[in-house]
Amino acid sequence: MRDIRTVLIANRGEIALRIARACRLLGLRSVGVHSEADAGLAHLRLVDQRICIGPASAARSYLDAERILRAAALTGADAIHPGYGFLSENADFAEAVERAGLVLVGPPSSVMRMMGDKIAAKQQMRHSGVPCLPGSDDALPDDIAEAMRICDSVGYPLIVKAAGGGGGRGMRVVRRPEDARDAIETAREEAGRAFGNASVYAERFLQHPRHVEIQVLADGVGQAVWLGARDCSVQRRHQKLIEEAPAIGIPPDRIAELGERCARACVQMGYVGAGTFEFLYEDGAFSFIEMNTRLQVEHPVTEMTTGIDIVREQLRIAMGHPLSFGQSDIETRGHAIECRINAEHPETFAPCPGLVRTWRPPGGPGVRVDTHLYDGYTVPPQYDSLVAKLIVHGADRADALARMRAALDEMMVEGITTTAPLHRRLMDAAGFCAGGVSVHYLEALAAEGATP
Amino acid sequence: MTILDQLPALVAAMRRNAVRGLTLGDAETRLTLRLADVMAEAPMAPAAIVAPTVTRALSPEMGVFRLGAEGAQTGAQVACGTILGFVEIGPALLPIPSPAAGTLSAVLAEDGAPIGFHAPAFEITDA
Repeated sequence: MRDIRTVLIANRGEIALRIARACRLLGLRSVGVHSEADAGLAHLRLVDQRICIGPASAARSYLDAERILRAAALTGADAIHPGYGFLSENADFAEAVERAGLVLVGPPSSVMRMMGDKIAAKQQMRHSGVPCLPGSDDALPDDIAEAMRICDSVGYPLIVKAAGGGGGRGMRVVRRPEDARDAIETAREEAGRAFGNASVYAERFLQHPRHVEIQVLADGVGQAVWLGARDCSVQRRHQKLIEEAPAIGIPPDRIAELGERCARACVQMGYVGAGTFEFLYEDGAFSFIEMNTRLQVEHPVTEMTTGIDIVREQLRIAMGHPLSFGQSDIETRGHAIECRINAEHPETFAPCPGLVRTWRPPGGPGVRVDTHLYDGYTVPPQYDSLVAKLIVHGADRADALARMRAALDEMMVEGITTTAPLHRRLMDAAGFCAGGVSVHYLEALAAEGATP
Repeated sequence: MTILDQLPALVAAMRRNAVRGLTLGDAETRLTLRLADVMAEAPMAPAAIVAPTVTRALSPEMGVFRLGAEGAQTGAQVACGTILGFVEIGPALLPIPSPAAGTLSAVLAEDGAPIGFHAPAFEITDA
């Protein structure tokens, strides 16, 4: 066992509060760090020690690895929970934590680094029998004629992607062979500028896929389990808005087969902690996109359907405990939906930070709200606009939808504008209610002028 | 939350404690508050009493707080720029200078304890 007594929470907002609660549950001492703009964060009342690490700029506070490590040393922390975003998937940070003799609540830095390289990750997935899109097995060669020959063999339409990228940068869709040269050169230039790594690869481009992902947990003694699937297809510009579990319309035995492969891949690569394998699902086939080597925003829908406290398990695993349950103990019950409530205009998505005059969360059976909001809290303009996650659990999807409609109607926030009205309209939208929409659903609705 | 959001509470606390002037900041930035008389509640204040101005010296960085070797005793007279203490970051010591001349009226951090970025370290009273 590792002797972890104090956990530094290297994050802010709702996820910092979520982690602080899990620490208390396990009797662990917790340290909250914050920027100068974040002295009023809700979790800072709950932690055992708090310290201001820097100015409002994320680059000089939450994204500054040296400051996080300095805060850990000053407060006597043994472990660092990175949450999501910020430094949570930064392999250099993970390595620095290891070098400092501390425990990162996450996988080893070497595994994080491998999964951060999209080409290496895909090779690892193929090795473990996880289904991948047809594509170049390696980075496209510098010889443009050879690169185009490989693209022709992949078939069109295809997508050229940055090996070290994400968030849509360094990506080009190629629909015709004659457009391949320009796409490769532009993607390389953009990837080099954005990520310091100009390597790109090509893979088949799917037209109307769903986003389906598998949650896994792996311990440090070679055991791994999968906790079911989530559907996160309602997105805007690659940002998820609504997530649900399970993924409806996909036979459970197909999900189980995929989940087994993911768990096996974890064991083979030496993965430790919570992680998510992301897939595109189209015409009955799954294709691996990437692995997120951290806790996800949408983890609560899995917690609601399995009854497993994923953050608590993460901490137990970091302490060196083996998984406290096996695959046969895990069961998906009912249906859960999560709406991400952002401080944004519900149509233009312009950020709307400011003073929250009144916050009245909804409640009742099957309703959970993960938020750091309170009356008088000021949403600062410097960070991500997520202010609350509204999660419901019902006997089935129809029941969950009914609970979400009621919860959104009950929820009241005054002083800032949020995306809650958009979610409320989506809960009545025919396509979403029918289920199984593709990742282009929301943008197609907007393009048709039928903004939900 | 910014200092401006805290103004109403700050002003109320100043009135409660008869503090008429307050300066917050460090060597680079400073905010000075001077309260006007509240006529309705100040019937006949003795002319000789002038409320002191309290200025706080902030830690320039996150680190370990160290008291200065000299002049960091409560009650000492300090000049503007007098080094009151330090923030230790590894081998480096960053000075915490007094932002104003006056009496060192309070040491707000514990020697050897962690101190946060821009956390108050000392109070200087000008009268």
